[in-house]
Amino acid sequence: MGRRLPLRALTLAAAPLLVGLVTYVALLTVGGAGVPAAPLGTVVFGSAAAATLGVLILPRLSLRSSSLRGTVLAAGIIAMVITGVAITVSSAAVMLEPLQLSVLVIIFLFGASLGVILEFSLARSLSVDLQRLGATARRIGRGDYAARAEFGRSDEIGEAGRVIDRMAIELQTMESERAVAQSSRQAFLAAVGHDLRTPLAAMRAAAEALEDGLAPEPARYYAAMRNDLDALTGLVDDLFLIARLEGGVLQFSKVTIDVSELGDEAVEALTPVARLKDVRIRLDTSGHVYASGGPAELSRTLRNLLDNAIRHAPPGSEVIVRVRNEAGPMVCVQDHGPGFPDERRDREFEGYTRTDAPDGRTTGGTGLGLTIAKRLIEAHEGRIWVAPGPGATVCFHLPPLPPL
Amino acid sequence: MESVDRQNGDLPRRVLVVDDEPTVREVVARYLERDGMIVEQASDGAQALDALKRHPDLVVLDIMIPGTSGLEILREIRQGGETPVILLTARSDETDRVVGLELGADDYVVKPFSPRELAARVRSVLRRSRVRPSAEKLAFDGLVIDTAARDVFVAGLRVQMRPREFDLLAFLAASPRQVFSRSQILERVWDAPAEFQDLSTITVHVRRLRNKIEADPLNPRWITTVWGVGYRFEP
Repeated sequence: MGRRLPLRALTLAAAPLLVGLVTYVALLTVGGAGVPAAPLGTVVFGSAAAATLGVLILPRLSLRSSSLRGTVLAAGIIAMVITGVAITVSSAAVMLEPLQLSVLVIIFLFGASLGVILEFSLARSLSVDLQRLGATARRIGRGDYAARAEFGRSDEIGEAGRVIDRMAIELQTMESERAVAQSSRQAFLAAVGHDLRTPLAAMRAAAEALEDGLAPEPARYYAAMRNDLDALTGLVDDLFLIARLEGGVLQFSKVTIDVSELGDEAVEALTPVARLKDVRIRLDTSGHVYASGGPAELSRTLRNLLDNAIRHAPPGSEVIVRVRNEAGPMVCVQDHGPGFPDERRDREFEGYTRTDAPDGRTTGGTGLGLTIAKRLIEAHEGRIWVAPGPGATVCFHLPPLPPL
Repeated sequence: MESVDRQNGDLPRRVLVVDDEPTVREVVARYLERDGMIVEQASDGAQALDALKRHPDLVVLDIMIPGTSGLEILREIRQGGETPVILLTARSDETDRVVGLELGADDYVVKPFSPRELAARVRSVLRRSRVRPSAEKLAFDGLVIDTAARDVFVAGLRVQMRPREFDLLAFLAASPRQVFSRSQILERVWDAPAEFQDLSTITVHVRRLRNKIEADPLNPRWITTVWGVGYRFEP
């Protein structure tokens, strides 16, 4: 403090001198002409100078002291010694009787001792609390985020304790979020790793068989390899898209776009896929419903939702894409499949979800469809959710077109 | 366009393929040569600029090539004329793709692409640029489509159109009130099987077209959507 605010330190150092001046004037006023001005002046200003020295030196010395209690005690004792010397010398100057002087000194020692006891007890409580603060900070530093200082003090030390406690709570929250993210990330990597390796293994086997002339129908092997490559390409594209969405670096230009048209397009685009599964898909729209968005991104979202619904729809059933204007485009894609398991309803949009068997690949899904849809809708400041059954209904809502 | 139109239909078409990956160039060249085209290859910007001096009929251009950027080369081509260009782009190059189309590329293919698909696109673009215009004029109340001059007038004012936008409008207007699905439009106007082109191409072109010819693009009067079926032109 002294180094950073020299002005304040200097003011504080001048304080004993000021107090000395006031004392000297008071003594002269009380004593009148009979007072020995020179000796008293020497005593008062000498003591003040000693105190000034103390003010300048003590804070620096206290930095090296290992105990707050010791420092406060030392300051008390120094003040007591200065006062004691001043009393003794000035008593001699005004020629006090030995008995008077003795009583004065004894009473002074009594008062000074009480002062030291009070200072000591205060210093002790400060020191205990500061030690606890230190211990708490050390535990947090070692990763024990459950540690709390928890004191009832309302002074600066109490505030420091509360700041440390708040920091610990934040660290605890971050840590638990990180742990959850870590475990879902590991599950994600395991699932992605599996889906990357499966086509790679198939391609490697097919390539080797072709090289060694052990493929009786090469055309079939080549076609299978191309299918595997398509699956890998789709997965790599999805992973890159997710990485860019999560890194917040996906850039797309927004235009005024008709969400019903995109729904219509998605229905037409996925009709062949639906036909393979004997599922009918139908668009139910109230007409043009406009939003401001990335055409490719919103088209992708709709197709992901529709693709996901088709994958879960039982044969012979119908999947409906409903588009309405409810203070902005509101789209619901509904299938009549088993619906989302209750315990996964909230997690359906997170990570790598594949409820069906690994042969889900045949419909082109990578298991990242809903995650991508959620991120894309959020990138449009929209909301996406799972609506209550029967069947599975995923809805999203986009902000309305801003007025021109 | 003029530079290709004056060519006789029997001459083999010359295609310049610009890509820094030798395998990609070679495979694309094989496919195009199988279709009877003469292919010249360039692996970087300098070679591409040099080959452009020999006026190819079409350029297949990778955006990411060493030396001069693909977009620079596209700009160069557009300054020299209307030679059709098909861009090769990475999936993440959305911005480049948009810029490329704005600069006047005729089509794009996303890497990794199917060489079969690319060959089909090349054939489609070349066929279109070889089309002999019919001397017909489609006139409606407030909209005139001059198929000979490939000009469109809205309320008497000429509207700038990209080739595909014009083709789409002329196609729809030629059969008023008839509904066409996106796949049908892809096959008839783009001359590409639906598996090689995404249906969103049509949605995007219809949107651009509406922005150009409709008084209120949000409530279209000329090109309407028949939900669940497709698009139609209202005379």
